[in-house]
Amino acid sequence: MSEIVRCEHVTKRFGDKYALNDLSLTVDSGKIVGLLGPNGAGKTTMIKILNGLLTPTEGEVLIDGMKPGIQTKSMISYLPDVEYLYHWMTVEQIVSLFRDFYKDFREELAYEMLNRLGIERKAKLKTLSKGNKEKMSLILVMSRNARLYVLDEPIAGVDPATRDYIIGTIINNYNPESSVLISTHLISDIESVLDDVIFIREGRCVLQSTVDEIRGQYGKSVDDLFREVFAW
Amino acid sequence: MVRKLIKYDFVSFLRLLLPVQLIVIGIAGVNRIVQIFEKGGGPAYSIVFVSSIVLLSVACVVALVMCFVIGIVRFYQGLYSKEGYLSHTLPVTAAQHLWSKLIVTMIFEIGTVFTIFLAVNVATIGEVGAELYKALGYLLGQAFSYLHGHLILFIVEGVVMLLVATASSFLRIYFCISIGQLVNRKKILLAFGIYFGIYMLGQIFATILIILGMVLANNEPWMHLAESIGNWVVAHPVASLHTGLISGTLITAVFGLVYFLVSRAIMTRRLNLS
Repeated sequence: MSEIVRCEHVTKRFGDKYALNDLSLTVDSGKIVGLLGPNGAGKTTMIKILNGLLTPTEGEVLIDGMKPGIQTKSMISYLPDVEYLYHWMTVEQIVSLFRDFYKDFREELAYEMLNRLGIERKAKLKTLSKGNKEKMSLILVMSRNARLYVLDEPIAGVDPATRDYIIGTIINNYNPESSVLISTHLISDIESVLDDVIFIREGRCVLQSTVDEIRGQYGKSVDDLFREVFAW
Repeated sequence: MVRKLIKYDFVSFLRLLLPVQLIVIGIAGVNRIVQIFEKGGGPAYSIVFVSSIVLLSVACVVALVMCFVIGIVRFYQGLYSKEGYLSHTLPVTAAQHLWSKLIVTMIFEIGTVFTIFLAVNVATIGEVGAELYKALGYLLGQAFSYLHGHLILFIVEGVVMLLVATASSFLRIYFCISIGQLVNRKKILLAFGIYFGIYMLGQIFATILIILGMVLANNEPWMHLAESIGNWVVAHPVASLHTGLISGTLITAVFGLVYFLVSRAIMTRRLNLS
């Protein structure tokens, strides 16, 4: 199976603080991978490096064999953990922006999902509720036919019904030949859809395994193993 | 891709600046209407007229300042705030982002100047406007009879210099903001620090250059060179002015290029989006 992501000995320092410390990991094509770790473990830093928003202090990151750059940006569909859409735009304008810049964007699919939520095309993004803004962001990201979906904390801070909606949207819309990297610390909600997991603690990869191996080897669910590994 | 970026950057500027520019034209219209009541208006007319002139002047200054500020704010917000998460994950290069921001800023700078020109025309429609254009025509005619074709060249060189200087000053601000984001905290403070640092360095460098020039001009062998340059300027004032304008434009363009290249390098290799 080919690798879509390879990180080798990646270190990221902010001053004298290590956000990532000699972290190495791989993500295979066609897999849904959970990037799991407690708050401050370095998940978001890792994801930002994958997307070229941060540069590593040391080490190398390769996306389909290429360093983060213009080509990898057209391959990755990224959902950050912040409200990142241009708030002054209307729904129609932001959809047209995605259509203009991403060749793999499926406009009809995006509108179909937006219509189902009752989000109007002429509505300004800043007038949408927090929940609808998050759904809107997810819809735009999942409407791309990308090689790699990178979703940073997609289910954090939302109610259980929205959580189900988000997970359903991810599963129903991603290209099965693509990979999905989901960062979260809410494992029980997402465990059933994961193929592989990567545990991160204090900027280091402490475990990379398939979900089946964890169940077979440890006789535990991923959630239980997580609680054990990251127990205080 | 630059065209697509420009399309969205243009909209982001337009929604903020169009109302301001419409207000400037509106105030100019009010000023012109006030002038209708000039005959037999008395002191009340004078107060209203002067007030509307002051208001128009303030509106013009506000329009220029807002255009300048929005040029900076849109660069910072679009590339180094949360919006940067989207901007920097679009499949476009850092150079394309810089070009788009610069081109749109320049379009609106020119647009604001045009708006002010239009406002002056609206406020002076009629006899005053005709007198103004007559005076301007006379001045240009006098200048043309003395300078001939050089007048057109001076106008072109002056406009190009103004455009290059404006672009370069925005690129300097982009450069400072880009340097500022290299640190993890107090990014804007560092950007201000870098900006004033560059300004101070420029002043110090210029002062040293002037002192050095004065010292050298009074000592052999530079004394003869300075003298022959001085003689050439006196003998060929038109050519020396052309040389000054063109060389000034080129030097400003070189500085702008350096600011552009460093900003591009930071955005490509040292992005630090927090």
